[in-house]
Amino acid sequence: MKSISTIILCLTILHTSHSQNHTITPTTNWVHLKSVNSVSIEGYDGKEIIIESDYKDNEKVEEKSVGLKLWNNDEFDNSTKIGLTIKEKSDAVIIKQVVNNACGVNDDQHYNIKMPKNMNIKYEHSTWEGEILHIKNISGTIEVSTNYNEIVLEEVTGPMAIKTVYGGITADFQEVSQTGSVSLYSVYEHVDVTVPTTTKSNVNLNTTYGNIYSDLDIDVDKQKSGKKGWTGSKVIGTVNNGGVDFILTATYANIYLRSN
Amino acid sequence: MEKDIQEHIIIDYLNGELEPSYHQEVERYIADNTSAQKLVAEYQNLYETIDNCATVAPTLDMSNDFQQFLDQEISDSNQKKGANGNNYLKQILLLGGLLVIGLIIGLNLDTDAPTQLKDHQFAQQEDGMLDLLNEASVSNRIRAVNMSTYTELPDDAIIQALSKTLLSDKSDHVRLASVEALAKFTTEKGVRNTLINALGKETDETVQIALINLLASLKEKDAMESFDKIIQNRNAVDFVKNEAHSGKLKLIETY
Repeated sequence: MKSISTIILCLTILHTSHSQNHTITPTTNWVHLKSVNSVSIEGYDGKEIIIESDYKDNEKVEEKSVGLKLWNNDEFDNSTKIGLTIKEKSDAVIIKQVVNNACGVNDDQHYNIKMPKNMNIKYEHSTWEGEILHIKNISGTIEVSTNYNEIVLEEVTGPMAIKTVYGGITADFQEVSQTGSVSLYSVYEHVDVTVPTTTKSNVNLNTTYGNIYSDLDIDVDKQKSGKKGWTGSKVIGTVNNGGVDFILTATYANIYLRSN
Repeated sequence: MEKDIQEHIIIDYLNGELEPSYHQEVERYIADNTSAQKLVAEYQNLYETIDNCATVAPTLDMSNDFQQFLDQEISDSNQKKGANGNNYLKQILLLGGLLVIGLIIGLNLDTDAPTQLKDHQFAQQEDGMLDLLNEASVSNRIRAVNMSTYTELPDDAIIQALSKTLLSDKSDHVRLASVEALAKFTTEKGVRNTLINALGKETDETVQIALINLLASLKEKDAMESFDKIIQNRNAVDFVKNEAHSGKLKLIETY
């Protein structure tokens, strides 16, 4: 009997330590991620949202919570068994991290999400548990509002509106969509953006206590930019005769605007 | 001596217009020169013919006809003079009328054409901005707010639209952009009051920090109370409280 219990326990451990997938076929083109501490999102040409994780629950918790549902501040649920609740509403698929890491459970839990690359993403996170948000190969709209996350964007096009308090923002544009606007705002950390040399844009670069660096050929409007103050800089101008609005703000740190 | 010169001297010789000593010299030349003698003879003959021409008087009919013709010409000439005088008067009156009309038009003509064109373009841009502010897309509303960056003069409609956006837009990204946009119009007291009101009701941390920094940089003493409320609010996030405290110190320095 004891050996059977041991075998069951081992199988349970093996099951929970194995990488898990959860797949959704969305009927809307918005994904709304709430409080997902550490996540990499990659766009692809398929139609499903695929969530991969190596979610591993604490052995003791796992054992004690068998048959029970987790309270996630909205309801009792943990149907995905990967620490997330997923609900599809009429206007968005909502993915929310529900397992509390504050007690040392599921530290460094990282999620990899694949989704159709033209999906629109809204990401919100407010607590100190926010780690990294990595988005790659997405051509839809991206809206990010965080306090602590480091934000890394690769092969994105915009439009986007991203703000963070303590995290830096690093964005590498494959090409720049001429619709909407690109707004990147960090209070205490850098904003580092790379765009194709041929990008057409109206740039509005603003830092109160930092500096602005660029190798782009910016036609600066000196009247609107004003003179460089004792602290801080402001640059308003156009690149390649103007186009989409690029609004970059780093209140206490530097702005880097690069060409590739 | 050339022929032309010969003729000239011979004419003067025959008219007695040469100096006495030169007259004798020409006389001796003519005596020795057959072509000169021939020329003298031709001119003497011409003079005689002219002297011997009889005066021909017109007949009475010719005189009368001529007189009538002359009188008619004189009469026609007088009429033309009268007509020209009237024309001159008309022209003067016409010119005067044109001057008066030109003066009237000039006084009423709006010379601010370049400014009007600029105003028209600005009005179009303003309309575009106000339309975009009503769009569902967050990035388009941010784009609308950013358009105010390119206006030179504070326009009431734009300031009101930005103020309303700051106080009521559902997106914190758009509200954040409107803080940055309103920073350009802070010479207006109404804008400062809007910033203070917004700080009193704002819940997004990034927007709060932006408002605190802006009001502190403006040395807006009326914001002190709002800063204190944040500092004393137990639910406020620490880094926002820190910014409010830092902003308060900047305001205190101005006292």
